[in-house]
Amino acid sequence: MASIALFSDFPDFARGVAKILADRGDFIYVSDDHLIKEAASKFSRDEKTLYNALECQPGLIQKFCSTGNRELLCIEAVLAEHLLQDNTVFAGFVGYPLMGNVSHVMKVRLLCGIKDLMELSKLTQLSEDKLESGIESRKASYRKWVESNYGLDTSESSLYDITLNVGNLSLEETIGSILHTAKHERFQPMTYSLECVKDQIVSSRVRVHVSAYDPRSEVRSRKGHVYVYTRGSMLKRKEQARKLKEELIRLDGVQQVEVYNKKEMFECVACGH
Amino acid sequence: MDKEIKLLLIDDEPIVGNRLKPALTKLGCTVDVFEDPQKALDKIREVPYDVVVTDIVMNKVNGIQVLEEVKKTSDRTRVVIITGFATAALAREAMEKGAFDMIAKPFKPADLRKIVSRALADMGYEGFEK
Repeated sequence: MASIALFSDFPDFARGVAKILADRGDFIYVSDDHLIKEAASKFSRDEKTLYNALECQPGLIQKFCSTGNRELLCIEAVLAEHLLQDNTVFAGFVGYPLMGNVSHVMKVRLLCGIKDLMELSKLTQLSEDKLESGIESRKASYRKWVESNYGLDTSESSLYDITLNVGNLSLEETIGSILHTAKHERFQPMTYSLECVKDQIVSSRVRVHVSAYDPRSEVRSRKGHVYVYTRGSMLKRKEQARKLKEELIRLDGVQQVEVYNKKEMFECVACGH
Repeated sequence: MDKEIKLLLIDDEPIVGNRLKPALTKLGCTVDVFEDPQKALDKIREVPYDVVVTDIVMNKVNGIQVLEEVKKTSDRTRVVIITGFATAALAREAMEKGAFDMIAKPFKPADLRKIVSRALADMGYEGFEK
């Protein structure tokens, strides 16, 4: 069965619809709370700090200091493992880059207004007050969060497989449409899409580790062969580079490591550009 | 096995056929290998294959065209796509057009054998792992 990722400028709306889908369509809803708890346990991080990574804009210092967005990387690493289960539903942009190339994840954008949020509050346990308070500012803040962390514009239609205007469809019809479309053959998992997820799992695991050295590093994996791009300054210290390789090879799923300090070379070898 | 299981492998690189044929024969199937997809299509119209394994990027006829032709000829036949140019878009197109599975090259012959075994089990042949 396909997995479903729901996106909305009102994250609470996507979460609410995800809950309903999980109740009605044999899907497992992997919520942010669930991901935070798992990430906290797996990477020994503080839950509050992880929660802040999903709620707050990364500041300039956070972007460039050694800790960088490591919390978000930890959350993405646990999310990647859930992509292997092919009947999950996610809500929100966390980990979008991991899902982008996975054909069995159907990406749905939900367009909604305040009226739809209120309708949703009747069907879920989300309180009407919580949904209504500061709606516009939360919408702007969420768009900014996505832009700062992933460089994505949430209004870009190519990010999604389908877009549903809940205002025109009603919530019930929206849910029916999602469940119906998710049954299409094109969204069913196959060996290739599952291999892509396995590669993402290894890359995410490595990224968490490498971010301690260089928060702007990039990682690609293919069947246990890991390619790392990190800025030259780190590699000048040969001892540090050797240590990094030794650490990475010990991570689960990593069989071979190549480290590059030239972006063009990394993209040519790891990404085939 | 009472009935002869027929398998067709299409790849324009001879090395692929040479490497995969012995691996697939181990399943107890008769394996025909074609490097020319046009000739393979002619054969598909004559012989009802159980499984067709095809590359995507080939001269004259591509793997998606092979898939479409196979599905026109026999809906029962399972088609497995093998490609060095895998993308999510291609994967979705192949699945929508009726492919059984798709695997990106390079892969181990045993990986393909597992997929073909699953395809045969899906068709109701006994003794193959799902």
